[in-house]
Amino acid sequence: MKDRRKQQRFAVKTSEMKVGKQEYSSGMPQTSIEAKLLPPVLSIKHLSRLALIEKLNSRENCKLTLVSAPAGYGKTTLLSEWAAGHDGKIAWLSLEQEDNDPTRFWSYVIASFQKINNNLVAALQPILQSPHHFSTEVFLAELIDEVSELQKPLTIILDDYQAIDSKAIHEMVFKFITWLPDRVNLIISSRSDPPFPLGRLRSMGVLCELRIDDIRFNLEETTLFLNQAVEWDLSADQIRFLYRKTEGWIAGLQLSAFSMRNYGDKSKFFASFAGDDRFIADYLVQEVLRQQPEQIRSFLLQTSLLKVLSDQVCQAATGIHGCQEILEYLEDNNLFLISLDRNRRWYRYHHLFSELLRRRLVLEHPAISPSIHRSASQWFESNHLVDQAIYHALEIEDYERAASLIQGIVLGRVNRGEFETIRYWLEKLPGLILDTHPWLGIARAWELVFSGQLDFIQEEINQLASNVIPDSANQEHIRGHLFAIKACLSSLSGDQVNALKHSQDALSFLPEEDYFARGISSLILGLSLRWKGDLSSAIEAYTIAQQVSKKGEDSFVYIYSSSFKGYVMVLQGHLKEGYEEYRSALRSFQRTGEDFKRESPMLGLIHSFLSDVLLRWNKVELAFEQAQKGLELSKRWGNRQAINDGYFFLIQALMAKGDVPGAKRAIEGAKENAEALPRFQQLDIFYLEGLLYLTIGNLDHVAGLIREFKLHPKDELGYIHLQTYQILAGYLRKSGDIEKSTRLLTRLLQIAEETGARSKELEISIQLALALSVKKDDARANKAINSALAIAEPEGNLYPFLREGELLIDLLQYAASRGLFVSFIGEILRAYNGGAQFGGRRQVEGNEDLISPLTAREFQVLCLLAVGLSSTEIARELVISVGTARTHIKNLYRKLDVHKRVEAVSKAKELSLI
Amino acid sequence: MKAQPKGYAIKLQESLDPDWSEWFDGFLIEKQENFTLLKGEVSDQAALYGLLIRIRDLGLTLISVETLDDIQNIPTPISE
Repeated sequence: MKDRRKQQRFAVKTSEMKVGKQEYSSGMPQTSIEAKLLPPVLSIKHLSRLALIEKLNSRENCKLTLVSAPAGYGKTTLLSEWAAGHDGKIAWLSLEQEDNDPTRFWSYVIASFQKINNNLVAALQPILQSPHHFSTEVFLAELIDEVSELQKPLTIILDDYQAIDSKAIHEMVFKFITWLPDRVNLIISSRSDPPFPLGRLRSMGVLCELRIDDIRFNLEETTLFLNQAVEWDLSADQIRFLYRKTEGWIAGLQLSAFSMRNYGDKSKFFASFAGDDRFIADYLVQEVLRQQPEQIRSFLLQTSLLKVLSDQVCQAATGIHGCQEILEYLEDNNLFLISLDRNRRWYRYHHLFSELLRRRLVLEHPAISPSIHRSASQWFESNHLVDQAIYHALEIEDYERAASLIQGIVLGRVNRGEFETIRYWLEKLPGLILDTHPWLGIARAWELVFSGQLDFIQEEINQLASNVIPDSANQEHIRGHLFAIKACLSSLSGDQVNALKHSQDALSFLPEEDYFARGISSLILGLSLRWKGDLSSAIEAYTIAQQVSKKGEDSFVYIYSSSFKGYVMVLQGHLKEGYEEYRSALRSFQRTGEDFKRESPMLGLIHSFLSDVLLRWNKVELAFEQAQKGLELSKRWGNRQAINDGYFFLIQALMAKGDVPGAKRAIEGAKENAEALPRFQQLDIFYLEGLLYLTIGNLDHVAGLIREFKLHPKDELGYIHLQTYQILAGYLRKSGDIEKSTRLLTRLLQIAEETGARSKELEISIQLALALSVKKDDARANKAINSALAIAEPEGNLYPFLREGELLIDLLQYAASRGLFVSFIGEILRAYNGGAQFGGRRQVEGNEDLISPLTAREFQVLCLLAVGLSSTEIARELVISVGTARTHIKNLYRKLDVHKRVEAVSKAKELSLI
Repeated sequence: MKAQPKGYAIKLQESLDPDWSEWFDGFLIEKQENFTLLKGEVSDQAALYGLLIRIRDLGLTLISVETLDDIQNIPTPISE
């Protein structure tokens, strides 16, 4: 129970931390990320735009509403006002240049959804958290499905979309729009139309537009605004003049109103404004600056270089004291300072205003910029806002500083999959600097691994290795990463020997707190150890991978290591432990609340493995359900390895149901999927195809397969061959070559015993028993079946017996007659009788000599009677009351038309029931 | 591959002072009666688009973009 609570906390933490962690370390002040997800605070003085609000309210069928106009026309203010009236139905995201990384962009979108409903899209976190396999297609499909489950209408607002210039994001957003369900729509505000095929949306009638002529102030609004903003009365002519001059440009009206204030004689303002034909934004900003006291004037100019402003950073960058007062003065006077939080701590300038200020700074004080950037970079660095610190260092081309700053955080970005950001930084830096900053190269190499550009990595690694400076502080850590990257490469190409070596080396160099690299290295170590047959060490490695990935919130490694660990436990014969492992991994991703039944597609892998245990317990329908679900999820994820595992278990479940055509179809699907996979994964499919055709008795087909995969009884064998060569052994037995089959099985059995693969030992023992009984070597056959029973009984692993069909019944009954595993054998026999197991079923119902067919329970009781148990013993064995046992016996007698135990047993034998 | 044009003249409706030159990658600012002409060379198309985005971000009104070859016959302002 305690354990479960811990895991649930992990699940919650995962979703919270994703945003939380990003907030802190993406270099933005924490509150400003929060502010990205909220409409800006409306100024009290803003003019309500009722007509436009009404227009927004009355939109119909608009998947996309485009609010498109240049800077300063009040787009954001309009949308803020509209959003305020639709609380709880709006997801808001303000975009900036830094958001051009698809991973970052979509995690903000998700964060904005979660503001409305904490549970919404939580299932997508694992995908985003998996740089290893981020597929945009999958992600979008999941996002749409998730949003479709919403019962309430939802409007997503992307403000300042012109900041986005990533083609990948544009494409995804457009797809997102076209797939949106009816209740959900998107509003984009931008200074220019986004590069979507807008014509297509228009012709579909799903595009609504508010363009410059819709949103500029008309004369009436200009009058209202000026009357509100200016304390004295303006004449109708003056108002008309300003209206004509600004053409309803709201920022221009605001600047005019502010500028006018400092003119004693207002007519002078008008005369000067009328006499100047300059670009009015430039003119008005100069006017405003001219009127400010020197201190505020230099504050405005110097701080225009900052992307975000606070009291402290302004003081550090400019040396001006009392910055907070200035900031509040500017805010109170509507001087284009936008508050980023609710407690007047962080601000930014309106983009246009800050650009015009920066221009004036360059004109008036061309030499001052570098020192401001440098001081700002230092302040941001010491306040852990590294992205901002990097921005300022790059602005003054201080590459050494920028590279050092990037080095410090780049691993975290790799882990989060922000490869676009990494690429952007590396492009800005001169190539030579990579030689002295090895972490940058490491980040690049990881990027190549995760984007599948394996060909380039070797070169990169060699270069890196030659750059590792001996005795440098990070030498070991860097070595660790180099080995981890090599381990990934080896594992992906199926070179398990080197994967093992490199992952071990990686782990010996990597420091404890590098969860990312330790997690992935431990996972690879586990894989290669299992391949070698060192199962208990594999479990240890997977356990470490689990623990580390949990700390590092690496869902990908966590899901894989949990699934594989459970599977190795099952291989060792510990079905219950494996089952618990899968269940608890699933639980840790469970969401609270009932609205969200969908799961992350990455969890498909766990469902597939779960079906394996259920099938071994002969819960065929449940196993089938899980296998289906597993494959479906993995297909949605699009990960071929996971799909391969999904097919593997689904085919087995289909065979257990007796659905031969279904199994054949699934095998075809699996083969198609496995085409690009390494041979060891194709062998999984070979195994199942062989098993299917052996069971339905098509030996020619099996012979063809064996030729195709070039299997020979004298091949050298190791742990990884256990599965594959069982098919060869089965083929040899069924085609009459009992000697070879027995010899091969004996060799396989020895490997299974040595490696502790108890579940394999069980399957091979059963096969061996069958082969030996054909040889009439009853003593060894009985010994083999007994050892199979000994493995299977404690964990209820009965399916391997059922799979072989009724051939085993004599051997099992003999064991039971000697009082061995009586209850368990009863269960197997009952399962033969009652279930629709593939291959063999004991048709008690079909026996025409019986008056009425025996129930499964009665059959079980009959078997126990036959081995000489009393009614009390039968009751104890079946965990029923003595009375119930007697009722079963009585019914049994009636159906067999007998009156005594001895008669019942001999009649049953006569009817070939037992 | 065809050589890409380098020299451009960008016509804007607003009236800009010559001191805007630095802000527009060193393009020459020519003030005319009812418009402003920005004339200069870009290193490539990406630089040209960067310039156009800057114009967009300032809210300036774009009238035309032409290569310099096409506008050789436009008279240079006397003020220069």
